[in-house]
Amino acid sequence: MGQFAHFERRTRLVGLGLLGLGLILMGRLFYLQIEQFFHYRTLADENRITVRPVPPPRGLIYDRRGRLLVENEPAFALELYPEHVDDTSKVLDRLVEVLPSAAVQRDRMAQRLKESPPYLPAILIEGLNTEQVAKFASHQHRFPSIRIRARSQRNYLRGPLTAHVLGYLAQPDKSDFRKFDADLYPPGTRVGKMGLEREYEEILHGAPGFREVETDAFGRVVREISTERPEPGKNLILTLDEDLQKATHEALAPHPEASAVALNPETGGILAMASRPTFNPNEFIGGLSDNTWQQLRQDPNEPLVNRVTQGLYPPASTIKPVLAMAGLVDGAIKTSTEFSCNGTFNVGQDEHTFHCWKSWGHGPMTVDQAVVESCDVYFYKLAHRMGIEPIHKALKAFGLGNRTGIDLPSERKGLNPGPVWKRRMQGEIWYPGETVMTAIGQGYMEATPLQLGVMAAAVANGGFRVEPHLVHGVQDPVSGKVDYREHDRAAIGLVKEESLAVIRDAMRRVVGSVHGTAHSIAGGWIPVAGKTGTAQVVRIDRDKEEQLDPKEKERRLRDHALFVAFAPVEDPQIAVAVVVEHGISGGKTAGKVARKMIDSYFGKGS
Amino acid sequence: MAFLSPDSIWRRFDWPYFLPILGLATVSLIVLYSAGEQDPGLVIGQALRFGVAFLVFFLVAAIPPRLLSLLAPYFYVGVLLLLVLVPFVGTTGMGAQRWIVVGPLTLQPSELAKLVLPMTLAAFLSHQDYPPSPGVLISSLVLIALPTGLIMIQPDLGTSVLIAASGLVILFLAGTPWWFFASLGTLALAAMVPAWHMLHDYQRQRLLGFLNPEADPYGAGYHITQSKIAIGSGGLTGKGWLNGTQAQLDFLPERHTDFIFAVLSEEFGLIGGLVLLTLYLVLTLRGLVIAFRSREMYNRLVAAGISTMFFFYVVINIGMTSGLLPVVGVPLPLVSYGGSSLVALLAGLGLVMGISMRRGR
Repeated sequence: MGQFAHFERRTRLVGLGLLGLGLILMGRLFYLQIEQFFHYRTLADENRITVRPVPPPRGLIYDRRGRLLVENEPAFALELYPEHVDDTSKVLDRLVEVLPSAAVQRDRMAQRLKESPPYLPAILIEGLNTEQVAKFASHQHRFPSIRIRARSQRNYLRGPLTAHVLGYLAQPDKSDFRKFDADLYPPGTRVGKMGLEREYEEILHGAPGFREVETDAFGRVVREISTERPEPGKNLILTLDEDLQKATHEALAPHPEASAVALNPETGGILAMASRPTFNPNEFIGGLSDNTWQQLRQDPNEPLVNRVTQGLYPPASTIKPVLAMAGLVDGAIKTSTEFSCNGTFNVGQDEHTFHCWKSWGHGPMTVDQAVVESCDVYFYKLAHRMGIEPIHKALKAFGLGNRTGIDLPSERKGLNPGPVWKRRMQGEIWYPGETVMTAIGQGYMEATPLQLGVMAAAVANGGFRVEPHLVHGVQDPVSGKVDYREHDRAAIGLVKEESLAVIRDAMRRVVGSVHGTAHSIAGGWIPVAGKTGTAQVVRIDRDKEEQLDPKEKERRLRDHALFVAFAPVEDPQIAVAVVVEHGISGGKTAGKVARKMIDSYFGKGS
Repeated sequence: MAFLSPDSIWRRFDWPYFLPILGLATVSLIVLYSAGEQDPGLVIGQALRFGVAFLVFFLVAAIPPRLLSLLAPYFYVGVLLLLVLVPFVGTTGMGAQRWIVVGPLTLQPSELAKLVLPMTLAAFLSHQDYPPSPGVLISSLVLIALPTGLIMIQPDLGTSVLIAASGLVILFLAGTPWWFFASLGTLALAAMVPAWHMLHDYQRQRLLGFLNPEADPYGAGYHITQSKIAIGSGGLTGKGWLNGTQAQLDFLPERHTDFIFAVLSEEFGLIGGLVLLTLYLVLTLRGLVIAFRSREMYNRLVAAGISTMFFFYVVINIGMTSGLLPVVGVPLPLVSYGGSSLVALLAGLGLVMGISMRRGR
């Protein structure tokens, strides 16, 4: 075979080889574009069409006169799309260059990026102000992977004043999703963690809408395909009175740990509810720093606790009016019945001695005098005569030892002890001495300030146990229509009107009479009826005790001061309960708070 | 030294060879308009580059092949020197040193090497006995290995593969015995392990990403995945010009350079792809026919070598965009955006054209 023939044969071979390669490529195209067409078409659509949730605007909250307590304001955040970034630390460096104020957050941003799933945008910084937004926007072209996102955030207009009532919002966690529908919470939306924000979460939240958008590879929206509007959350109209709320906080201000509640005795609508110390819910909004959060959590004064519904105190003498009435209704005493007080009372086989607060004694006392002067011996004798059962029943009828049913989360029950409870909890019988202790609201008894307020309201309204509540109505933000809520009001069967009249008059004289224990707050044109209480602090938590300096330890051993009241006496429109921890004297400290609240309510506040 | 008269140029002009080139240039401008975000400036710029490249094409075609064969050894030494210079004076871009900037000109010595190696090898072999002796074969291998090695360390895997392949094809056509290729293949297999260690990290990642693109969908595998989606979703007839969602919405990377075939496939479908491949096949096979018909060994080897290398370009580029081959930076010849590769390619095709026009002499 000649050289040329050889060449020609090999050229043909090469030609065939190239043709073969060409056919392989054609086959590959056929496979991708015909065989696998549907598969790739679906992938292409998924690539570019994304469904984005549109968070609903959260419902607003108004006080009883339509004054806004919380609003939604626009907030800006920077989001980073991790799949478009090779070197996140370089991006962060450049970002800090543009926004020097973000430098302190650099580690936190890096941490967030690490924790964020790679297919979702990671929130770098939240709560940017408009100046920062403008600054970033002018450098946007340098950050193709970062975008500004606007969303709305809560602004609590009264800050610490309404903190315990309204609560606050935070990132939902797993336990929230056991309670609430996870589908309603697109990434970044917040959930109510406390107070009304928590209790009315489902009403305030609304339902997210959806936006189907076509995006480019950077997630930038190119065109909108379809939208479903979000369903806005409903507004709450409260029974709360903003002015009274403010006055209450001011009245409590001198006391480091105290709480007060005012309600409408007819309806149970809460007019004011304040707990000290308090906190600023607006600090939670941009995502609380761990430091601040730990500080709040570990503060021994428990600023996050709403003392009105969660604080438990011996009700002390504030329950005497109820006992007095129970004695009258029970027939154990008449209005004319006299018990003599020489300062002590002995009970039981071991002759245990119980003391009156007035160690030299009150002398002979009728029931109304005993209420006015808060004579302990009178009530020891009354209780001893009645026995625990009718006392337990009467206190229960006025709401002690049961949740009031207020529309706030985590309300505590308190304790209205009796033989049944003691047998079950301690496996022991009830001693007569314990009946005597119960008569002055000490011993095992525990009540929340709210329970005392409800009790005072029942005395004021002629014997009805009201259901305390904060929400008066729910408003549809679109139509503006308000759906008002009905509330239970149960007649307390054990109450007789004439007995109640005696008690109410006695409570009027607690303030009005020179012998009254709250005479120091007498005066003013609104006649106030009330009852003082001084609760003994028996012990301090051992683990807390060790952290305290002697001065603080001494303060913490001082008695709690309590006061319940209603006004005006003839036509009660407001019932109040005040507890000042370690406030010593019910009449002076707690009574003064109540007085200021009542004056403010009737327009004579400072 | 036969320069052609104007009259015979017209008569001998190889239209079947030239028309596919014109066709590809047209396809290029149409697809570039779509891939380049419909920026007319980009298309005009590329049209001007085509103008320059065609000028080169005709110039080269006008030079007698024999003159070029005599000059080839000098070109070869010159290119080797430039390649050696690259690491010292070269401009770095995209992780590789490939360019030498001389005033307004950007010179890519590896592009010159693609032309010069076939010429030199063909010239060398055409002066040897047939079939070549083992000594000649070893010398040829050295001729191939020098530019290939220098380009591989730039690093430019795609170009070095192309150059080596064109050299081997020329050796094959020059009558190299089969046993030589068999032993070469065995050696290559044995060299795979050390070669793997010599590769750059990104090259290894690309190769691994090719084997399993899903393992790293946002890293090395991203290009392949997005490109396959673009091609596959084009279907039979495509989504229409300027309507390729993958391309227009930025999902496709490097879409006006190395991945332009994905844009074409998405917008013009299987039909568009087949038309393009047909143009390439016609051009390549016509080149082989020219080699086939030529009577001079040098002409035959050069024409066949350049034509084969040209088609290897196509195979590597479409192979990588469609996920058959690993991603190596090889443009789609005559269609991808860019200047120096285009000029080099048309210079090569001009060489073949020049040979065609002198057939039967």
